[in-house]
Parts: sequence; C-alpha cells; structure tokens
Amino acid sequence: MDKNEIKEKLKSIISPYVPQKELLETITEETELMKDLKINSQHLVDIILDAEDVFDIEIDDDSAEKMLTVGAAIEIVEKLIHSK
Amino acid sequence: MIGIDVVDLTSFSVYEEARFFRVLHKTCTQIEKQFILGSKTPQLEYWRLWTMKESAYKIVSKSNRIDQFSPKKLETEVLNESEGWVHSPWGSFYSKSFKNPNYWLSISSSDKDCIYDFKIEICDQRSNPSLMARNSLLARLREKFSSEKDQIAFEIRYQGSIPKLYQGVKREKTDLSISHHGIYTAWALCYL
Repeated sequence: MDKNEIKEKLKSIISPYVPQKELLETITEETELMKDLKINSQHLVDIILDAEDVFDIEIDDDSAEKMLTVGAAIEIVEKLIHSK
Repeated sequence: MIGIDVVDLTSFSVYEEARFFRVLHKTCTQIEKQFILGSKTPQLEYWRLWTMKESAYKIVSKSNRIDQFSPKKLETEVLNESEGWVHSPWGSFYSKSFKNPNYWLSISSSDKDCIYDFKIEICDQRSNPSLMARNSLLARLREKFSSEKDQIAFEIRYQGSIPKLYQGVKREKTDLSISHHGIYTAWALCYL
C-alpha cells in the first residue's frame, strides 16, 4: 500500500469524526486532528481503533500519542504496515 | 489552575463489548480498568474517569508544552462518588465530578482548596457553544467584580486552544476553563 492510498483511507477513517465537514476540504499533512479538524480526544481513540481495523495493524501507546497530525498518522501507519 | 470537562452521554452510543475493551486498553491503566470493570455500570464509570483525565489534561497543557495524546499518563484515583485525584508525571490534581443522567462533568484543580465557580448550560443547535460559554462566563465576572459605577471590561482571548482572561491589556490572575460537548457547554473560574 503506497502513501497516497494510506492517506485516502485515513481521510475516510477521520471523516465521520470531523464535526465541520468543510474542514476536510483543506486537509494537508500538517493539519492537526484536534486543533484544526476539531476532533475531540475521545474520537481520536476511535480513529486509532478504526485505523487498526482497516490497516490490520496494532498501534502501540508510544505511536498513538504521536498521532496528532495527518502527516504523523500517515507516517506511523506506513511504518507499522511495512513492519508486519 | 483549573480544568473542566463535560461529556454528553446522549452523544455517544453504548460501545459493543469488544470495542469497549479495546477503548479501555488504549486509554486506561490496569488499576483504572479494574475499577471500571468492577463497577455495576462500567461504561458510565468510564466516562467519569475520562472527564477527570480530560479536565486534568487541560491544566497540564496550560503549564507544560506537551505535544502528545497520552490518556494513560493521567491516572485517576477515585475516592468516593464525587471526589478523586488525577496523578500524572506533571503533578497531581484534585478532581470533583458531577453526575446527571445525561452527562458527566469533572472539574480538576492544581490546588485542592482552590475556590471556584462553574456553570453548565444546555446549548441549542443554533448557538455557538464556545461563544455561549464565554458570554456566560463574562456575565458572571461582571456580576462578581463590577459595581454599577465601575464597569470592568473583561475579555477572553485564546492562546492556541487555551482561553485566557484579560482586563484591558492586562492578563487577569483568575484562571478559567471551558468545555462543550453535545448539547452541553460548561465553564469554570478559579479565583487565585
């Protein structure tokens, strides 16, 4: 799975938890999940669980605590997929 | 310093059992998991602990530059139905929780004897919950500190996601925290 595919799948995972859908239109790798997309912290947990299911990976605590931007999430998922 | 967090229980659907265990695994320490799973209403207790963690996290994020999401580093200790502590590498915070059939509200403070005001209100769909909390909070400040002759102009400005209180150009020592979730909006003011 390449980076673009991961990015698109992650956007689909994130989307239901973004309260203002128009915020999704300007998403970049620097976009912060909580500050920019207004995702609440409990939904960050949901995103981590959904990403584990979709990519068939396990996101450990150290990785989860760094998943604050779209770019960081892509990087972590990419690394975990390739280390399977 | 003070932190407040509200969770609208009607905004979350009940987790399926398998999903709930995974949520606990991601967010709670072993001691917390034992407490939650040993209770009569595990999912309800989970939300109490979550609001305790979140309210304490708001204090931590005011005084420390933390750039991480790590709910397990904020470990709750429940003393009774309303009181508890949140222990973390950044300090321990005294916490009071308020239960309603539709929400959990927790307020944490860095000083157990801190005197504070708080208010929780229902926000209708047309209102901006953040603006509503700010207006309600400013009204309370005016009520407390201004006389008819001496109207004090308070203002709340945000530094990142942290609300701070100003009187003119000077930053007030009174600490505040705002939370909104679902139909609820809440604020807390701590008089230093």
